[in-house]
Amino acid sequence: MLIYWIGAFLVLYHLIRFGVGNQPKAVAFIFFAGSIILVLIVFTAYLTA
Amino acid sequence: MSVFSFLTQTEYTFEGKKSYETVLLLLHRHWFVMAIKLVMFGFMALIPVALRIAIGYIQIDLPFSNYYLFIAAIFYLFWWYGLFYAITMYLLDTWIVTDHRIIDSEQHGFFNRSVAELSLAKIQDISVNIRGVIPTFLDFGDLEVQTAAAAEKFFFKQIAHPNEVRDMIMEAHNQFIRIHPNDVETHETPGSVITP
Repeated sequence: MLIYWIGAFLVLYHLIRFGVGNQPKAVAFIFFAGSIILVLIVFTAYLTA
Repeated sequence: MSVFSFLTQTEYTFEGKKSYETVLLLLHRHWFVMAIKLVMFGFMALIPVALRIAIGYIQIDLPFSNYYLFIAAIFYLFWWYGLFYAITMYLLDTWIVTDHRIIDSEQHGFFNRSVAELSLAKIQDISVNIRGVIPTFLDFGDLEVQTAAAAEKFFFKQIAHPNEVRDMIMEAHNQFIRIHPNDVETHETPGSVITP
């Protein structure tokens, strides 16, 4: 999971730092929100397995 | 909502943008290029569902069946990551045309980025290359900017409406030449003259 969040940080960093205009920032936000939801699903699936 | 202000405050700004510069065009590759990748990711998203249906149809009892949801969730987590990696690379491949210069910014991977710029005054020739059935129908293709330097060329890859972009760049080039005779900049600080 740590590897995932390091990778996620790299995506967010590149989108926010180098993205031109609003679109990359909005995409970064969607990615971050989706990542949190999916990580919660992974944890829930692990606990119920 | 000041928390989300970062979503609105950076419109048409980029690293190295001069205070006197105005962005005329911000170009990415045509949406069709990204759409192909999105369709592929769409098919990939069906793999765990298809596998589940197949296992149910064959009626075999796998040792990891209790962990299927967990494995599928991990698959979707990395699928999500792969999808946004592709979107990131698409969004960070940009060509910016300002009223002073052209900036070619290409992302080849994380921490692997090439940025080149060209003054509008140095443009000599622009050619458009639309090759193939789909690019012709959807009107996207490559645009090549020939500079005054012998071998240096600028490529706008798979951009939408390349002919219109060519016309706009030529118009910006003509205007730049008109406003800046002898390619002399007079913007940075009052009274200073910047010569290339």
